[in-house]
Amino acid sequence: MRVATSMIFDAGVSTMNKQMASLLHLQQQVSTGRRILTPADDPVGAARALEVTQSKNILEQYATNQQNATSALGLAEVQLNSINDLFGRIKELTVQAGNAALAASDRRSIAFELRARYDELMGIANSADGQGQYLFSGYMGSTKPFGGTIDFLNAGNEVIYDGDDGQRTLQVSATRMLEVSDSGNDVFRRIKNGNGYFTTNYANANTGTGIIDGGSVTDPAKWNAATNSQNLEVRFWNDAVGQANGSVALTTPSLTITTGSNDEFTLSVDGGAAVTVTVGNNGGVAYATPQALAAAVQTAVDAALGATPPAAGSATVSVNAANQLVVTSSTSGSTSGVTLAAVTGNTGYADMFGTPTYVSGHAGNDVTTYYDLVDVTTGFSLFTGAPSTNGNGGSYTHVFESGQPIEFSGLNAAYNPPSNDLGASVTISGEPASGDAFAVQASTSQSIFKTLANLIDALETGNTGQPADAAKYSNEIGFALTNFNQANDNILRVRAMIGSRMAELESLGSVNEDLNLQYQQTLSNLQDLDYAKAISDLTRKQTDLQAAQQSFSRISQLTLFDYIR
Amino acid sequence: MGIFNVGVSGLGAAQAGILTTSHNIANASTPGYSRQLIQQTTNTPMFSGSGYLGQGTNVETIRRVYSQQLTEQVLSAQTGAAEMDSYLSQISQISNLLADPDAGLSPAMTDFFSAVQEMAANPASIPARQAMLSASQALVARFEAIDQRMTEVRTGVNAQISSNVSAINSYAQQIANINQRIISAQAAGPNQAPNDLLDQRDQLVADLNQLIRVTTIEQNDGTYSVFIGNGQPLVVGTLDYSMQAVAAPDDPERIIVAIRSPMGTTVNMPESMLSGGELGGLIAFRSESLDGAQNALGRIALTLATNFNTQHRLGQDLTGALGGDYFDLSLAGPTVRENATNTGSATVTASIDAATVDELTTSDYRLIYNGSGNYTVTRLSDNAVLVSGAPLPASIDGFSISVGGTPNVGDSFLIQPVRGAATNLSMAISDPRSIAAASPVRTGTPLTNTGSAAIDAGRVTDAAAWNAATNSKNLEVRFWTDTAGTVTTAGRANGSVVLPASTTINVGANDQFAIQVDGAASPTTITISNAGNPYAPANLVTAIQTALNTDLGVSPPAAGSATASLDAAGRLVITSSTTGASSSIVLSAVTGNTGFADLFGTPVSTGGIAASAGTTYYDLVDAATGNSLFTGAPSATSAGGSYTHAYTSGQPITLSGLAAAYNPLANDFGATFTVTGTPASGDKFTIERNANGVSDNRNGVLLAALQTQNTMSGGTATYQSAYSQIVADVGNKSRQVEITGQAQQSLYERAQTTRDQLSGVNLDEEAANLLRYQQAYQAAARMLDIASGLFDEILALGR
Repeated sequence: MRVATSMIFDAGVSTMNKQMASLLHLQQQVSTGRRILTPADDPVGAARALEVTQSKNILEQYATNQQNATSALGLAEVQLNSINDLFGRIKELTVQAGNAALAASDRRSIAFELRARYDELMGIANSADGQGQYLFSGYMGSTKPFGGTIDFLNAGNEVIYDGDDGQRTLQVSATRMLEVSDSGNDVFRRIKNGNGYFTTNYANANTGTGIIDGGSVTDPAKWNAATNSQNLEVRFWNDAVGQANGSVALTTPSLTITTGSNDEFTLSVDGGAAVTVTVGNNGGVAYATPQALAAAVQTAVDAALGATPPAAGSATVSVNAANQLVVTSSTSGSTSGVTLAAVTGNTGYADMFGTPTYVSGHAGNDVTTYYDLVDVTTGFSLFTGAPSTNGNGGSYTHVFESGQPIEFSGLNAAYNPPSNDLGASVTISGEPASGDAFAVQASTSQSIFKTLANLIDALETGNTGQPADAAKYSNEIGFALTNFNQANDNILRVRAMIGSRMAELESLGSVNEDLNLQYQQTLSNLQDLDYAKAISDLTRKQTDLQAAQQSFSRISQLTLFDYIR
Repeated sequence: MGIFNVGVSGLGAAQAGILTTSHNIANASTPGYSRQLIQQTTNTPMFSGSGYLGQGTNVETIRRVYSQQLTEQVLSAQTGAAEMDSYLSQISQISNLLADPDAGLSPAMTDFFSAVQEMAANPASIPARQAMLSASQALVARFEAIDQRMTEVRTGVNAQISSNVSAINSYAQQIANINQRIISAQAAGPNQAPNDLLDQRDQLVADLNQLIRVTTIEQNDGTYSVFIGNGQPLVVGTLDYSMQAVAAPDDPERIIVAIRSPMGTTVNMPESMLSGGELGGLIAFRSESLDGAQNALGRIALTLATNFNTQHRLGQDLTGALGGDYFDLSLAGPTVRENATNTGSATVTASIDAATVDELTTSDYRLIYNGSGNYTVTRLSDNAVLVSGAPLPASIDGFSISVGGTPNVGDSFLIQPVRGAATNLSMAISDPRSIAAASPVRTGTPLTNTGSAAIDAGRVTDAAAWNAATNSKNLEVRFWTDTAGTVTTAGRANGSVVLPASTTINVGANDQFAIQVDGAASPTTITISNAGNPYAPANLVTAIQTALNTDLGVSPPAAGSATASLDAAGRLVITSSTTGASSSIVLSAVTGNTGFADLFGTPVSTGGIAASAGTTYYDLVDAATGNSLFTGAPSATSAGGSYTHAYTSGQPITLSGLAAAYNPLANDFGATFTVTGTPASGDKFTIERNANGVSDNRNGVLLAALQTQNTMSGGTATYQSAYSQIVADVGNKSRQVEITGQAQQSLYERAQTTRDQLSGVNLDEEAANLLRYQQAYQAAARMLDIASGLFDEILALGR
């Protein structure tokens, strides 16, 4: 092969250049610790490293969010925990207030402390985080959520809530938005009163000493049957008073009743002599309603007996739910009785009583108290499916016994067929008077504040002087305890949710750490330099370069001209 | 002749040899120099009786040791190496920039989304909001900085194209000159090659070839014609065509190459013709890498900003106002460049379609008017024709094109949808309170609800519709169940009159009433016999039953028949024999009755309920007026009322399809929510303005979620992966260019070595030649000495 002198120089320089270039590259790798200096070194690796870096950064952001979430939940948890303590004290006071022997001043001092607890509760409900954001106001972090004084609530209002139902969330993992707040509605207000299905109450007009418990639902499906109006009453009647009622239903409203000009019947009250009662014919105008006729009969009875109720020996005329005329004695007891008899020759009147039914009054221990279960919406008895009627032959067919559960079962075919059972029961103890009633109605939401205010009201205005009032007071204390239990359950429910969220955060945190390690590893594999290999390469290249330099200087010195003399 | 002449010829030849050798030694390092050799032959011999007598030597010619083929191999490898070299030096500028762990886009984008997350975690915190604004500003600045750097590279490419063109012109001129001199030289000595001129010309061609790939053809007169591309002449004989660097007619920022013929006409050269050499490398870099990278960067900026704005506008800021634009895109939209040669007056407008922004590509587009109102739009990256001879406006690849004014046939426009986005992006808001972290809508659950249904937080899908003047933003969704449970009930009608149990009822001689059973088309008249007068209520029921059976022609339980009965309140009840939704009884009085009219009074008719009944319906109600949004009239609970939509748990309910009064034209309030579970009849939820919702971060979370959503390339890439794609593309190209460049360099070195083996000067060889010619000279001189001696001998004879 022929070699041109320039080739020796060109080749030498070219080789050394290449060696230098790779030495420089190695040196840069070693000095930065990075395997990839420019994307050209490993295009796929460089792009992948960018994506893994982003994933790693997002993961770090989730970790930050998890810390934020933990602290927000922790704050709420602390507040709810203090409510727990507060409830303990309130219940203690309530039980104490239930003691019948308390004097009015004792009750007032309990009420005084409860007022302080109310303010404390209000303070907790309005608590804020470090940045002044209210914990329980939903999205409206800058709006103070709760307001309303005890007196405001006792004037028939509910607590004022200015927040909303919003639940703040944080993204704590790629797929999980964690709720970090609970709205004031959810914590303090959306609490079913009573037993959660229905609430019990006494009628204000009650004169007996019946005390109703919270009742219970044994079968929610039955209670929720379509035929249950959930607006029910337990009504009481006893047979202490003598009574006669007609068998004829006076028609209403489109038929009118016409009496003859001198229609009569005879009436004997409490075993007295029969007197003849003459009913006027209303000037020849038909009576528009049975009640109008009853009023006319009442006037005639008063005139004939010479006494007006409630004087002894007098009688009251009324219309029962079945539109039958009822004549009731003014006295009660075993001598109480009413006897009716038709007088012949009436021109329009005979049909009014038909064949009357009689009940004699009972005395003392013989008095039996009956109850009826009534659908208040229709006024129908649940036992008969017809209008509730007291008295003999009416729908008050079940004998009441104090402390025995009253079951809403064995009802008329119209109510939740085919079981005819509304799956609920209540227990009433004491002695309800005839005409007393206790409501059994669907539960509604009642705030903790309202429950507390109701209790304070009962303590402050309650009067235990009369047995009937004492019964009402006892009822109120019972309702308060029932409702506090519901409220307590709700707080516990919210706390359990917060607890499970915090547990989730903890497990997410450890998953995050594992993932982070994974990403770190991947990133390191992609980007980091293998120092051992790099330094060994560096040394080898150095040797190569030195060899190239030395050989070049030797070869380039060889020339024939040196030998031409 | 004689011995003297022979000696002198030897002296001359040796002298020529020494001279040529010295020339070789002197030019050992001259680029492109081919070593020269003397070509020595014997003179014509003289015939004598004893045969031919040699007459000495002469130098026939001096030739250069040269191979056309080897030279062309060198040229070919050299231009490729130069192209890759220039490509590499350009692309490494952007390659290093993109993946820099500090200066690249990645860290700025990550910081930006981290700040959004941080803000979403603390929506009421002004410092967190301020930090998000700062991070956004940094992102905008980073986009601009990277784009600026690419623009600098582009400007540099333009400048280098211009200087390359000047250099090419200079070489072309020199080659033309040398061609001229070679013609002259060959005229002087037709058989003698002007070796050094030829070498010089070859070297000029090699230098030119460094700048752009050329092909040469030697003409008969010894001149070279030089061509570039597919035969575009640069030098023909002694004529040179000069090249020009000019701005592209449809893009003044793009310097392209035009060639001017000696006649003075200028033609723009397609970029595909300019390959090889430094110029080829520059042009390939610009069209293959720089355009794509800059467009891809612009596309990320544009898509990110558009998506962010779209989401931001669905939110509500700290002051309760609806979110506006977050990024200002007013200057960052598509660029339309009119071709300078257009003759029409048309103006073309292109705008981004926010809804299809994910379809944006990294390509530019060309629009050409075909006449008759038709246009052709071509995507330049793959030459796909997207609008083929059709009228505009049109929406393609995430943007829309419309034309105003009058174009002339052949007018063309260059559309760059994303080129300017990265550098022209700016912030639209500067007040931290204006960040729309909240959602404008919230839902509420009244405490009075008794069902188990729950509503989600709701969201706005169209902020403008939600904000319509006709939206009271105080709405409710109310539920009603047509019957509780799944009871199958027959239709019936009951009279309003209570028949007195103990009185008797007289019926007239021909008393009648009319009845329609199960929706019969016409009523049937029922005539009751007065034979049983006066009737007790139970007997009357029997008489009516007989009449029903007779007049309807069927008896219960046959279809179309009816049963008469008394209810608990003593009222007459007529019940259909069938059950289900179509079961019904309608009663009406017939005039002229003498005793009958009062029995029914005003009857109450109830339709049957089918076994599948128990459907829950919902109504959307404007709580401010109590009107149903579906009917515009007061909300009414009945089958024919405004509860017209069946409820399905978990199915989103949209505030759309409303009555004409609500946000007319769209009839849509642009919001949606989902109710799950079983609402009780009468339950409702509120959907209202999110007043004072300062701690609501729903929109903030959705903004942050954009980071990981596949919102680019038709929904296949995140912003980060789109950016990684650029890095990978540029990296791959760099690597490819680097490796190809190394291969070309080796090839070039090999070709150069092969050429040097033949044509290069070896100094040792020349030293030997020098000695050889020196000795030849000494010998020839000695010959003259001997000849002179011989002559002296002869002269001495005469003495």
